[in-house]
Amino acid sequence: MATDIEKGQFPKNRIQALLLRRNPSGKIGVDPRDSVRFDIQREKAARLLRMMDHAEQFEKQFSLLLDVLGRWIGDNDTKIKAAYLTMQNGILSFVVVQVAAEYDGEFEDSLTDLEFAIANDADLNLISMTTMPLPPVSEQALRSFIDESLLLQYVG
Amino acid sequence: MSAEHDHIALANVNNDALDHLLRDYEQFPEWIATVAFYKAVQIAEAVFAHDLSKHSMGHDDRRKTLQMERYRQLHRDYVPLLTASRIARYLEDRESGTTVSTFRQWRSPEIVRDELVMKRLRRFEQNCLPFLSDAAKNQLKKR
Repeated sequence: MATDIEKGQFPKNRIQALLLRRNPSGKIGVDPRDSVRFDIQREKAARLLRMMDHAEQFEKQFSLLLDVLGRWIGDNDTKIKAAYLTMQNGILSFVVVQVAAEYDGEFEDSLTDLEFAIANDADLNLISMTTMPLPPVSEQALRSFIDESLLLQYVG
Repeated sequence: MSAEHDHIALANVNNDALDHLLRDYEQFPEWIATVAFYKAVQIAEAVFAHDLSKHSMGHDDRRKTLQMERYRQLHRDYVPLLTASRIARYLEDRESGTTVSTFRQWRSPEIVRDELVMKRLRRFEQNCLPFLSDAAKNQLKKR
């Protein structure tokens, strides 16, 4: 049976990410056929952040986090080539690949402010996440900054 | 010497290395970015030693402490310094033919000098001063 884990945006399509989309109600989620895979990825995130004892609360916060990141992407979509939620050194990492090949300090400040806002959001107190802007790099280079064992990609 | 002064002394060593590298900034933008970040690391640790009596357990712990509300302005420049140093050290992909395959294709040596060192690092230092002792403020070699 075909899976809905589609190929990424890069030409050779070797990076496999679970795709996140905005549904008609505005919430971020996955295709229903990928819901089990999504649960597995969220459980990995909970284990990573040592939040297995707070699974129900973490589930709600993880869902809120995806919405917060989705809104920021929506506000900056003309500047973004690809956006991933992954992990790095034991915590979540929001990796954003820019469209522009030139350095954009304003964009970087906006992403840094997002990290700060999430860290200080009382409704996201179980979430530890960093941000990482990248220039438009190849898939090969991207691999140095993501972990494919926990990889969610925003596509809509 | 206190931990605060030890960290300032290490920051000053990094500052001297930065001066040396900046004389030939077109040749070493990756190392300028890296040394600039490690100067910021030592200043942040001096701040924590004086302000919180705390010593960080690695980069993530330090970053988490800088996410505290009182350090908002420090966080805003520290994270881009860290990001630049990571990309400087790990982005190298000359074979795929993409637009940006190295750090210096993304940020010219001039941008590294003017934006990263003279703007971000300088502003980070200035914003750290209120959290340091008077002696450390005087001891720190500033950009």
